[in-house]
Amino acid sequence: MKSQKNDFYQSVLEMNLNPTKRNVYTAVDVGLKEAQYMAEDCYWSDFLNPLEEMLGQCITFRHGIITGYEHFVKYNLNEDLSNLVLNTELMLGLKHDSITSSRLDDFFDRESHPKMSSIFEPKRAKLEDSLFYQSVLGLGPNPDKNDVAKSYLIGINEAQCLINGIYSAEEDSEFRSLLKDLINWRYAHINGYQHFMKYGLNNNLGVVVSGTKALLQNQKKKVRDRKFDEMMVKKWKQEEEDEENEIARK
Amino acid sequence: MKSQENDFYQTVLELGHNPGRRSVINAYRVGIREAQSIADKVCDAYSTDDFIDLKKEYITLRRAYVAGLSYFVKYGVQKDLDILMLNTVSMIHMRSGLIRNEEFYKGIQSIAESEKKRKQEESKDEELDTESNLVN
Repeated sequence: MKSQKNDFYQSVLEMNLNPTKRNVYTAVDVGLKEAQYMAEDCYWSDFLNPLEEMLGQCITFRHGIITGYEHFVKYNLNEDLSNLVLNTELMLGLKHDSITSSRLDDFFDRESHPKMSSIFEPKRAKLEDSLFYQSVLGLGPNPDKNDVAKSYLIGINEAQCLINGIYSAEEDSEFRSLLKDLINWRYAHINGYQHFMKYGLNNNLGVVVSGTKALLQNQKKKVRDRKFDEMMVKKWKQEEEDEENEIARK
Repeated sequence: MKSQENDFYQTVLELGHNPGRRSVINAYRVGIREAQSIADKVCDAYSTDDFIDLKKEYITLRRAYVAGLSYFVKYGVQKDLDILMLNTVSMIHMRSGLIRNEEFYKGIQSIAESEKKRKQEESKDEELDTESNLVN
């Protein structure tokens, strides 16, 4: 998909000093499209460089929000826009983690199994597994409040399942899969943003997953630390046993 | 856009103990202008040194916001200002991070190039030494 760089900032600049409600909403629509294009580019990217470029695009997006701030405040849109760009940035961060961790895995696989796939072979997250994404897809261009509310509830439930999953994960592979699920979740949220925004639901959706990236990292570290401690205790015990056996033999 | 350094802080200080709605909204607008001025400067910054002053400006902006918080809460503009602050600091943080990375890689590149040159010169010197030894 073609990236529409800085269209939002341009459309904010094109608003005159006293824009009409229509002008402001048009600029917001342009911002939504830009964030959705970014989310799509980010989702399908297998390289780190484009993500850095997108981060630059997010900076310009925030510049657009600040430049047109008074107009967005007037129509109560500033929080939605701010959360939209925050969601996009968090998705970029998750994707960055996902690419680096899968490259490391591939690297170690390749070291031990030289015939394994190439280091840059894309690893796609399974979007069809995400109920939230499926429900957002099913909304269509002009859904009614009931459908949006249903999708919202599915999103909340899926986020809660993800958080429970993070707390109970024990293996690195589980954490990687959860990372991909989080990317899917954010991708779905950004895709259905205009509908959630219309019915004032997107901010609550954003809150439900806030801090999940940090939670995932903390939990991963906790599990790794525990496993390392267990391994060290096992090693010490083995060494003690060996020493005792040595003494007994003597 | 012309820089309006610390205008927001001054305006908040001038609010006094019991400001009217008009004064508070006026201060709030000054805050928006100052954040806009910082945002413009962030986009014009091209080295990590440029961010030292910008970060100081942001701290003063935030200080003003904290100083006038009770008035901003009273007239319902606190949340809008909070979001504005978040956007401004995110811009500073992300752009300075990107520039720091660029400078870091440029630094590494220049070290590698100078090392390469040094090695080339050393090998040339060695060649000259062996040639002069042979002549002698």
